[in-house]
Amino acid sequence: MELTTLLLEVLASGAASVAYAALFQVDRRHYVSCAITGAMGWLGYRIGQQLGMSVPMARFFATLPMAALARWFAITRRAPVIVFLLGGIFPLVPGSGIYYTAYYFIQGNSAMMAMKGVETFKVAVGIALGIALVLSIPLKGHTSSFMLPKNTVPAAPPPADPTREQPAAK
Amino acid sequence: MDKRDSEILQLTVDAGILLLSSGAETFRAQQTMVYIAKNLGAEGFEAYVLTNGIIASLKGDSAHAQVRHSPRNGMHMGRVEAINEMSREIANGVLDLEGARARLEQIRAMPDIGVEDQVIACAAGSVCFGYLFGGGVLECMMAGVVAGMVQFMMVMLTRTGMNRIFARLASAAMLVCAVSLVEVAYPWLDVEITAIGALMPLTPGVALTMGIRDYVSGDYLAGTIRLIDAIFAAGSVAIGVGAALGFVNLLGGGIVLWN
Repeated sequence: MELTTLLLEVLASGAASVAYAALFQVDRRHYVSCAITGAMGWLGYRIGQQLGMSVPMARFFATLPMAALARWFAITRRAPVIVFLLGGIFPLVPGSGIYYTAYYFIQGNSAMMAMKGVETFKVAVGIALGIALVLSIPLKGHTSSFMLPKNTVPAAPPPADPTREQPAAK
Repeated sequence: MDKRDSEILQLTVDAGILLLSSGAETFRAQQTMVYIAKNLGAEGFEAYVLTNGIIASLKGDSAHAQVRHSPRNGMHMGRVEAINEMSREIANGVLDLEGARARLEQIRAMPDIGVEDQVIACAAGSVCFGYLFGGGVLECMMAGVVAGMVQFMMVMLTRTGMNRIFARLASAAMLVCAVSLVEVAYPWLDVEITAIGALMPLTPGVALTMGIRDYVSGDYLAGTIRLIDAIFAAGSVAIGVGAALGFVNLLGGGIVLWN
């Protein structure tokens, strides 16, 4: 792939992230961070593809640096991580895949529908796993889902998941 | 003391409802509420948060409880961030109960995005997606124009109180008609790229991904609700597109404009 094309695509991805960040009413001062997050996602995706990965795998691969960046912005700019994540994942999420799946379903083209549906599902799972993976890495003084002041409160409870804490039954 | 307990409960539930209706995740609303109540000195606060409602109780000298439904508004990350900031200031002792209540009113009064800005944002986003899907200048521009029109129609339809599913369906149908008209003017246009680029704001990609993320973090109820929301949204878009395609092909007198 040509470098200019790649550069333009990365720019377009960043711009798309800002556009959707604006639509989700993110505060103006975070626009640049959202753009960088979104651009990173697409860059990671293209790099993954160059390394010979399949589409879902490449999107998972792209989500890792993107989510890490979103988390870094969340810490340094003291805002919830979802502010940066929502715009950032927009270029990666399988919007067109969902549409094609539903479209082939209505057209009665079961073979195409199954193909598109499986790929869409894989992509969505890949992105979700990537986000969950990056956000669950413990960092001192910062939990992924919530910003805590470092001095006052020891730790927030993890996201509602009572089963995870328990030792395996049996 | 009893009155203070009920005021704390009121404040926390108000904050939680505002978070939910601004598009925050259920676990964030839950954690924020517990965090606020704890830092205002209320012991025995419990909250059960659903995607569209909150059940909360505070057991002080006597027991208080609230059951509230959360209306679904547009996403407003500015509010989510401001409430997050507010909870942090409560924890640091900067805000007391009165101050927090005043702050919450300010946050509620934050302006919502206007129709023009929504149209511009959708248009700009779709121009970019047109490029990412491999479109040329014409495809990108047309995707932007059509996406702006579609978003305008979405907003207007939802404002009349129309069901979101039908609003999506009608908008998707209008999108196909608009793209077909553009194709009549510019026959060399790649209709598929244009239409998909313009469709991106209507497709539930983020809902699907975030729903699966809820599953991964163990919140199956919130995940299921989002997933079903995504399926219905995708279905309504596809039905709108399918119906409009049939109509356009009928007008074309047997000539398939676009398949």
